[in-house]
Amino acid sequence: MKMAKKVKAIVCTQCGSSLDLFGGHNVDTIVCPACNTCLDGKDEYKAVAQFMTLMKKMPNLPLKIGMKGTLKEVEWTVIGYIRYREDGEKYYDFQLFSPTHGYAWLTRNEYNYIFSRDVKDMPDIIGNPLDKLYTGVKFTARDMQFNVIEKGYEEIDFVAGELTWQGKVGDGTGYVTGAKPPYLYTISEERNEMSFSFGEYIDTELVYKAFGINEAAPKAQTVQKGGSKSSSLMLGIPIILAFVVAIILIVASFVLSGKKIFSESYKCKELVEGKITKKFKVNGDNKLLLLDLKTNFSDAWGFFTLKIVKGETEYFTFNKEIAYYSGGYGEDRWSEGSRSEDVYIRLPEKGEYQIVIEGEGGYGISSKGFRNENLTVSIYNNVILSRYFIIAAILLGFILFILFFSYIKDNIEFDN
Amino acid sequence: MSETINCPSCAAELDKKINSTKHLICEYCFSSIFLEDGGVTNLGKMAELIDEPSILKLGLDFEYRDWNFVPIGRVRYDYGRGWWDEWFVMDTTGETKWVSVDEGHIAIEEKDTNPENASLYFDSISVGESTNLIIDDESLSFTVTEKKHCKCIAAEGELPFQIIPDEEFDYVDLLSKNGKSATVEMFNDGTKDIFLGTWVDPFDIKACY
Repeated sequence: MKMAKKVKAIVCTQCGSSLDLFGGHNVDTIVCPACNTCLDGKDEYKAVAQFMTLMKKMPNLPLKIGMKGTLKEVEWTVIGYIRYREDGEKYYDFQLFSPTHGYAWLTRNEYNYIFSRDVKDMPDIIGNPLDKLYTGVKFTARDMQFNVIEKGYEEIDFVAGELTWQGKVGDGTGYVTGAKPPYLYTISEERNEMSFSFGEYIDTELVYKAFGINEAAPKAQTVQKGGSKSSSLMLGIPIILAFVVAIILIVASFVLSGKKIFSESYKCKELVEGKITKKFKVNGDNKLLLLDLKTNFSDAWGFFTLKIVKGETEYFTFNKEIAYYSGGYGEDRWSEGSRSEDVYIRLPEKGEYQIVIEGEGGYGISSKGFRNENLTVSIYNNVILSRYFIIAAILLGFILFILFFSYIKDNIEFDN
Repeated sequence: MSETINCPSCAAELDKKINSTKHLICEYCFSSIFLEDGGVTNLGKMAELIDEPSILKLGLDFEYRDWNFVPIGRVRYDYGRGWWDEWFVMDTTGETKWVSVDEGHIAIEEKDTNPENASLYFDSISVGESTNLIIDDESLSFTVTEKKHCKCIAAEGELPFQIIPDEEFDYVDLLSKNGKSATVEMFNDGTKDIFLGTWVDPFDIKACY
């Protein structure tokens, strides 16, 4: 007496389409490609859910459902597909089936492939591993020490074919991944259920060769000793450059904005009543200085004359008008003018200089009077003009554009 | 030491590898032969096992880590949506164990004789619930991963008990957090058998032939 051959095709209980089955009897979910209905493999293929928002076609990826290939000396059939999203990144899991070795996953992340399978070997962690583990922490599992390289939460946004669990769009999984290159160990928690998987990086060319994919394998990312992935040349250099430029800009904005060598405040009435002369010292030749004039004007204007002299020599004389007015009722407010002015000067030689300040001004109806307002004069040595920052910002913008372009290019490649 | 027995149906010479064998299935005519008190009883024909790919093969050498064994018999149970195989295996010292294989879910177990475990009641336990079992003198918490009804549908080779085709019983599969496994078979007469062991990664089983 021969047993009947097991079913290899079913009819979708929702739309009547014929579905070829490639997996074994432990498949939990089958997604009908015609109507996107999720059928329960454990309960006479009853419809579990229909993804009306998921009327997307299957992405055109090199691995297709039904393909067969030999990995780790075992023949596998691609039976299902899940796409996850996490922080804008996408992961592609292909569910594999072997009648002798059960079920496994082939994960495509950027251009890497990871072959993994569920294991029951638990890590040496007391308590919930997801609470205890963070990036950089080490743990032991399967007699190996893993370094946590990733901790996150991913959500399913596309499913197709057969799966060994009830994967639905929108389902989320918290996970921690540890690396001991080329091995990976992942702890996942979904619906209060913990699962463990053990995997390893597989050469992309090997995957293509195993499944008979007749196209050039994309260049794989490599795994460094510590477990982190090195960036591809396409993205790595712009990222490093952008990082360097950003650091330079931040440092320059703090360090190279000049050292304050003089700062004093005066009542404007002092300036009206007579010139104020103050000393300051410059400690290098041909230095660029910034003279910063700040007032607390409110409905007032001032006209200031400043001179920089050394001994009998008058190096600079300049006039600056500062005016600030505001008014309005309730939320309908207006203002015009400015309360400050900047002047750049370059002094040819080091030494002690004098700044001579005098001024006059007026005021509007609401002002407390020009004479009662303050003027603060500050001098900064060794300043760098803002045009250098503008050039650096343009460079940073260009690099960010390249990064954005690369991201878009990758997304197009993944989605097609 | 092996012993030769002639099939009562086709007279083929059958190799009996262990003394405690109670049941032999003739590999030629699929006669089901019950061995007791030196006698041989033909129980009729046993269903032939469909030739599906399997990680184990009858009569060939395998290795799990440093443990070498040979499958000498197999029983197949149907649990509705599929089936699993219980392989009766013998190691190089003559000791026997069971290797349970269900599409890559593999456990190596042996029959438990601990009276404390035997006194436990499994009829009302549900999937997801936990219970403690004594394994290697240690009390471990096990969680029920499966509780189903099954039917014996086929067998082959040499087995330590009488196989009754179409015999049905309930079973409970349990798993501990550190990968220890347990199976409880609950029969219609109220008796039960408990098997304890460990979960096995299929990639750790190597063929040695």
